[in-house]
Amino acid sequence: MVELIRALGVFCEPPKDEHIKLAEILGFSESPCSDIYQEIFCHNLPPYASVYTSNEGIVGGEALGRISGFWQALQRDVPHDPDHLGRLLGLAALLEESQVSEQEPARALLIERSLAALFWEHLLPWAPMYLDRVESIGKGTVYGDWARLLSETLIYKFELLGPLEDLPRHLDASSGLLDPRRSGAPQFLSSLFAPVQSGFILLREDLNNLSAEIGISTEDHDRQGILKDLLRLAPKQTLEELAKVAYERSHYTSGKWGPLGDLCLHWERRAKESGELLHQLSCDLKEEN
Amino acid sequence: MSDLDRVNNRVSVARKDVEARGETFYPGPSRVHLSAFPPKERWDDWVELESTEWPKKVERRYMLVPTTCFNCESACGLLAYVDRETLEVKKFEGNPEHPGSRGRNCAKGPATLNQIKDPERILYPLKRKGKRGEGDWERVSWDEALDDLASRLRKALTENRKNEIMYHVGRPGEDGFANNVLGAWGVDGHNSHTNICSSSARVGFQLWVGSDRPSPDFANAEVIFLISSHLETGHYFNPHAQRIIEARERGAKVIVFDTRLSNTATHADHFISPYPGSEASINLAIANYLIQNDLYDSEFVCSWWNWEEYMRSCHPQEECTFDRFQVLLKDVYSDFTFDYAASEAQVNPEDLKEIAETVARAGNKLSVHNWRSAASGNLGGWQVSRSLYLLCTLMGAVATKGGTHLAAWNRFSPKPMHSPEGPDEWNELIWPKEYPLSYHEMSILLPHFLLEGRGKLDTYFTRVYNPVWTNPDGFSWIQALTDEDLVGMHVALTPTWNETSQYADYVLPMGLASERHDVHSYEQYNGQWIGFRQPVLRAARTRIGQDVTDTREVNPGEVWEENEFWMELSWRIDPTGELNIRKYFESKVNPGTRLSVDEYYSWMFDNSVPGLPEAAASEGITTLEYMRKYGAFEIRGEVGALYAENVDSDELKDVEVDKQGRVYTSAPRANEPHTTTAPKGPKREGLRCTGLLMGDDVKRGFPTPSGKLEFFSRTMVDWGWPELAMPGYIKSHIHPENLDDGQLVLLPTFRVPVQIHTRSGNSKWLDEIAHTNPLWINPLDADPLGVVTGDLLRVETDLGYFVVKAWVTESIKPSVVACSHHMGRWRVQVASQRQVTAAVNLDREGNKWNMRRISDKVAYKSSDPDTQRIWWSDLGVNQNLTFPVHPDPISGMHCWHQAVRVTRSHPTDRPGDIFVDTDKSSRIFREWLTLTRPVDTVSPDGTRRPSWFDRPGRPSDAAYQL
Repeated sequence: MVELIRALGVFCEPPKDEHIKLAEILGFSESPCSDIYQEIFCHNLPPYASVYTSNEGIVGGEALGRISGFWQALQRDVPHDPDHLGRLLGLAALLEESQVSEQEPARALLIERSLAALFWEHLLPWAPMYLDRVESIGKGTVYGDWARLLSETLIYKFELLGPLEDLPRHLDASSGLLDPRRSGAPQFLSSLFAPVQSGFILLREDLNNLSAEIGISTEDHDRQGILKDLLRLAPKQTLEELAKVAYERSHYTSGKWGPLGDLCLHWERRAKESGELLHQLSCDLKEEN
Repeated sequence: MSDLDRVNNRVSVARKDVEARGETFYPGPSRVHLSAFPPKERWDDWVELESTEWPKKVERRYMLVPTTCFNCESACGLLAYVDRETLEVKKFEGNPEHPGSRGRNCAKGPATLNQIKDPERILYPLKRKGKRGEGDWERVSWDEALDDLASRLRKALTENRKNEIMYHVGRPGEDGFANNVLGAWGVDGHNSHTNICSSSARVGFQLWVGSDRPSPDFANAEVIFLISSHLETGHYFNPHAQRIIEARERGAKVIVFDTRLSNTATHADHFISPYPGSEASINLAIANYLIQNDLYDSEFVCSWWNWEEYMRSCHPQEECTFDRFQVLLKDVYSDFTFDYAASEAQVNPEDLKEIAETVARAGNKLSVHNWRSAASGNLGGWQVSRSLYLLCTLMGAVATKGGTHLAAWNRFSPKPMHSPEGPDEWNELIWPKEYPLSYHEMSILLPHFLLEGRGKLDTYFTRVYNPVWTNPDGFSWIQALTDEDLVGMHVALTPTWNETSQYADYVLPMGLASERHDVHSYEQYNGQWIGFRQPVLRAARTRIGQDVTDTREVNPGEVWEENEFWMELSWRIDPTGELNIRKYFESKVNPGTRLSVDEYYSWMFDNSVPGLPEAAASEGITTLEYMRKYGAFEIRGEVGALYAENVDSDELKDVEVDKQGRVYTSAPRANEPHTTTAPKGPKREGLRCTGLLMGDDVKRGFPTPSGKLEFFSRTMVDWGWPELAMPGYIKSHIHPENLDDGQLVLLPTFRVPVQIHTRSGNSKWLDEIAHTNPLWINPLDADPLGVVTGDLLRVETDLGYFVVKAWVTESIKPSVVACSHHMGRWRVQVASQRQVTAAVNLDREGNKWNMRRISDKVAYKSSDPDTQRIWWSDLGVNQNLTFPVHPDPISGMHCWHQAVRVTRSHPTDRPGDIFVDTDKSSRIFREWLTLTRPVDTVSPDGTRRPSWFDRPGRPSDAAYQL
């Protein structure tokens, strides 16, 4: 799968002429387009592992150090953005290539285990849920096709390589969605936007849908701004709707990502727990009222 | 096959098709490349954002043109970023296509940018007005300079004064080019800097294997053993450094012997600081440990050491069996116990035992290196490299994976179009009778030979060489250079002013790394490659369809390159061909016209580089286009143990085998320009020595007289040094027994990583990092003097003294002081390289010389605004001026270490002060001469030098006769 992985790795980068040819070869229905690329990868879903696996939920979060360490463990120069999806897929392609060409059996096995570790520790903990969201907001575009094909490829590779023994420690170690009654409202808000804590990715589109559902129009803020407005204006309904989003993501994850085993179970559970907390918070408000 | 497999195959096939057309499949800057370099498919048109325009995103388009760095011998690959609009070089970064440097550079590579933009570099040919050394110059044309030189040289050649022509090189350009020019002229005039650099290390290795340099396979070693300051003291610093670090990360152990706590020492698993000159005793103690405990590879030693020769010579009465040899071997180094070596080295014997145990665990993955450092500092320093390599030969770590290979098998010398015969004369100004075994030229003694009347020079070229400053005893150089009866014409081929060019008659500007053509190859791993240095603007213009026939058309001012200069000069010396010189510089494509560099290299690449024509053809380009495009080519990925290969049966005809098992054949040598090896046995009429009979096979063997590893050197016995027939230990001239009370040892051999003698001095970035050379002094030596860091010290040598600032540090061994010889540049007349040269007064009274700095001000106005931002004023001291010559009687190496007295400065002393009495220079020169055993007293066969010892510009066999 070397070239397929590599080819898929370039699509989460600004489109150039080569992307157009690649899209044809890969059988995508549309050509890449700068505007759509910007909307998906710059405004909504930055393709960096640290956003989805760091407690901070931002580019360059603590996951960056962890992933840099992985590159160093492979004795490779650490690039300036080691957690970018394109980099990680490029690395996967390189490892697979090395494994095939390696003559010494022990070394080939070592490379295979490194590849398995790359998938289990640094790609699969976030890429599936990420690609789901790309597919949903990129529906009908080349990026929707891309996300679908990459998801298939990741599952295929995972099934060949198999899981490691334990769940990635950084997933285990991260707290779930923070309870505002204990951690305070700002922390709660931040953790809603840290997928590793909440168990789901909350996009602006979700918040817009939520606004429409509640019947409130909000100013055109960033996500945190929109959510703050919603919580201020209709806290109980907002929390309830958020709970529904969380449950829905949990359900979706278990349906689609079952083959990922413990990883799937982790995300399913995490999103469900978030849903339960959000529902409880909503109920508490009712009881207070 | 699944759908995904089908898609994967589709992508693979598409990629192959696209890239076979030389096009880009994945976008150039894509992260999937996992590369820090622009992909080579994009080198014609690479886009970057102009950093100075931030936050605006302004694109600049570049052509990336490969060349190689000129700042040390590594010749690491560089990519010049040539702006497509302005055709100027914006920056230099690494060339990922270069197999040696692999895209990485040390600081000196990218700093080439400073050098080409130096506002004070020499741009036009200059001729002196007034007396030599007065500093009065006028600009002349190249034609005038060429005609003047050609006429002068022609006169010397036709008057049979060939030995009055000399070419003295510091940093060589292309391997062998100058030798071929001199050979075409029939002149034995090649001189070099080797005997201030590596002569001793070379002899040590040569005596063992017939190749004067090691090529360690660091990347695959289990144990790396360095006797050096910072990763081989600056040679191959980058290509070797990266491989040493890779090995270390993989778990290899690093052993460092360095009297000074160097950067490399801080990375070592075992570091000891030996007393200078004791290193060979430690090596022999380790060897003794391996021998006494039977920890060596006896099978290898039995097969490949010339132990039988040793037995026949040294124990003729003993049974000549390997078993008996092994018993006797235990006696050879039995005196070299850890206690003894520790006592010589002033270190802990337990540490030595640990090191020996580590070496023993290496098996045949032992990579060793010594080049300068202990070999170049000490009398008998050649035994340091010899005893170090003993460890490799004991462990069978010779040309193994992770072991130490022969440089001759990892360097590749492509055959040029013409290889003139060697001259018929022997130049005793360069190869005097006193030093028949020197490796190589006795360059440090040239002024003394001239001053005592052994000869004179009609025309003397210094080529990127600065002996007044770099060599010891620089004032003797000035005495000789300023005497027009001794040196009729001095031509300095140089990009910048230096201390020596101030005393020239012509200063001719030669190009830097991106302004000249050279081909070279060095031993940097177990493989062979060639690198191509080229005028990048010439290549850039060619890419956009412009025709360039002379490098001066693209270089700044009228800066030229040496290949074209030598070709043109030679053509003018012999315009009609009657001197048989012109034919070597005549075009084969257009007979009657002068050879061009394009034709020269096209021929070489087409005919002399295996694999290159095929690689070029696969891209549909010529070999020259290929090398201009990529800048380097790997000929062979792995070379390995050539000595153990069987000789092809095609090469065995009319075979004769001598008593030592050397095999002779009448079959001609294969015509392919590949690397091979064979014993250097005595000549036989109509036959050549091709291998060694070992059992039923004819093996290639080593390029030594016996064809084997020469534990016992018949050469040393035959040429007057029987007591040194085996690896041993020679107490240094600065051994404690040879010091007077109160004397310390001055260690001046260490480099700083970001400078390289003279030629990096015009890089402002490098000068900002390193511009001074304080005296490293241990607190145990400083405290009694009441000295702290920054205080002035006076260091007295045998010739005089220099005044220097102290750096009190525990990083140098007590009783030893150290001072890097990279700093202390000075100028008398011409204002140049002002950021690193001090303006000085130079007074001479008879043979007593005084130098004093005139001003502390360094910053100056120029077209570069940075020159006014120079914040430093301490420019160090030229300690070398105060060193007498110390030529080792065997290797010819200048033994750099000095016995000195260090005192607080006198009240009138100022930093950088120097005093020298050159009468003492002469006396000490003559004292060291008495250590020699001249060839006319020892030659076993009436020749001047062992025939199997290499010699640049090798003369004819007749010239070898005494």
